[in-house]
Amino acid sequence: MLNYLVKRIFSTILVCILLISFLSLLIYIVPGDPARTILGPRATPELIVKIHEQMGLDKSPVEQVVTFFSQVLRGNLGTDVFTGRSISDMIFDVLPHSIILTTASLLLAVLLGIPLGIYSANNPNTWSDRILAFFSISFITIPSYVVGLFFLMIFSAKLRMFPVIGLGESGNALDYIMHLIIPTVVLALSWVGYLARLVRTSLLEILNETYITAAKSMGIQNHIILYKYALKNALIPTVSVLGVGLGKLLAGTVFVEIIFSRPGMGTLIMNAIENRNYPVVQGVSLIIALWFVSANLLADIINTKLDPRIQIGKGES
Amino acid sequence: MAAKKNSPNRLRLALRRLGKFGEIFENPAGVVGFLIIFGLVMTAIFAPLIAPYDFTTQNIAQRLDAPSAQYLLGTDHVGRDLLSRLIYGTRIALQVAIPSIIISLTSGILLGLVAGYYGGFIDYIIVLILDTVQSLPSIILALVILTLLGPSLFNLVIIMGLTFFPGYARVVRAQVLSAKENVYVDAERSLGARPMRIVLRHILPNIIPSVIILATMDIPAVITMEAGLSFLGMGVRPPDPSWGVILNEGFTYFRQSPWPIISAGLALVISTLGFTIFGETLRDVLDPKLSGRDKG
Repeated sequence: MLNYLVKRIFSTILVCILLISFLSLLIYIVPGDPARTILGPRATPELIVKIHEQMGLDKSPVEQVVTFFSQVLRGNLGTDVFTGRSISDMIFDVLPHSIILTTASLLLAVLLGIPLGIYSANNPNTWSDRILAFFSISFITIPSYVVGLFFLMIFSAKLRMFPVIGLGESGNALDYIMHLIIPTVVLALSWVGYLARLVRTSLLEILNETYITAAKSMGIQNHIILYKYALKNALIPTVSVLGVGLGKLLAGTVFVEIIFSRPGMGTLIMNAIENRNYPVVQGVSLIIALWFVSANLLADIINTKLDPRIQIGKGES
Repeated sequence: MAAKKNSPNRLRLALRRLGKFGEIFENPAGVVGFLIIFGLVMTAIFAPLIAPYDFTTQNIAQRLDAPSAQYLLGTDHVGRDLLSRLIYGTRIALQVAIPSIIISLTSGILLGLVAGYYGGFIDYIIVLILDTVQSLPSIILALVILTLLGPSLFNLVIIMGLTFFPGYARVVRAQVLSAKENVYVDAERSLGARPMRIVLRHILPNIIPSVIILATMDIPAVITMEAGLSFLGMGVRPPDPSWGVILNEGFTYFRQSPWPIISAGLALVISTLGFTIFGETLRDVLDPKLSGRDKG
């Protein structure tokens, strides 16, 4: 197991190195001079030179990658050319809001999706199972921004029981939570459907295993078989998917935050994109990617703990 | 390999002779999915004939109108007919989705075959590249590259191809790895067949079904992403009526009229559901676990 984990961590580190190099070299793909794009009509030769220095564009590509690396390792993502603020500060100011939204959504998806999946697997091919299947597929398929826009119209105009715009009054925890509800539902919806289907499939598969038949023939009660023997194994694929979910949901906040005007990683990156503020785009995407990669790694580690068979299979391939 | 298959009844057998695709139509969901896809394709092809108005004709006097006999789905913020814009939007959705899928499909298959067949160091490098591309969530990857290249239809296609190819490469690689274990591959090799022949004649035909399923399932994802990027203002540019562009403009004016969001939203819901339902039926029919038999 240790061998597998070491391999896995090593390749994760390699991926991070490639990723950071990719992001630090991105600026070279930009057609034209980024400084000129940022400054627009205000571009004077002195300002351009100044921005080049600030962004490190006066150095060679290799030097830039190295500088970016050493900066990232020290937790420094550079300075925002527009405001003069540190980019890491800008990110860590809004990151908590996005992470709260992400975890709340994942929690909601787990709390709804897993019981629905268990229910379906327990009553396979009944009408309720079919209806649940239809809703699950719809939840998975319907784009989150469409749901978000519909909810925005419904709750900002007709039903005013949940506030939907912004974060709420600062310092007011209850107001913050009230503002969190609708965005959380919107972000969680596709994962509710996804988890319901996943749990249903894996649970049905397990219920066909011989050890379950053996348990049944021994006269063990159904609910004990289900919750004690079957569910434990059926949830293993779910756990590994949750890691992916944690990563993907953070990226999904882009739409939700834009629609509900919430400060966060999504709004930060979109504002930076609109202003062609490449260093901020670079920083935000790096943090999201690192979050994504570590969530996946974490899920893999938990998974190997839960199911020792995994490392054998993966070790061979 | 195909031992799990239940003994097929007569009807199934007859349809099977017509080709496996016949089985899709035994399932009501498959029929619904097919009809939606067929409708979308026809709408896209015959858009100029179906659309009651040109998608750029403005009628400022009747901006943000509710549906009426004159404008069946209402009008947008500059008085353009929403129905006509939706119809032309179908074209854009498919214009992005189909080439994107073709690009990611071919590059994914190619890389997956190479990685799976040769293994070793080449495999390691290819997997590392796939891991790196997938370490950025697809929407962020697309946004980052679009920021650099600028939003346009062509760039969208390239970026979607890039975002979706790792999925195919992984599936193909895994399938090649398991196909390589088959005795017939060993037999071919010992008869002196070149790797190219083994891959093209024996391995590729076996992995095609799963790749087709994956492609059908990916089309709604590509459509969703195109509209999403266009909604964020980073995809198709106005005045081109991508569903995402209509949503974006509807978002700006949502307090005055809900109709742009409702109509474009429903267009997205129906089309993505159609492709997904069809893809799911296709998967049940072409299940790779069962697909080996007909080849033999």
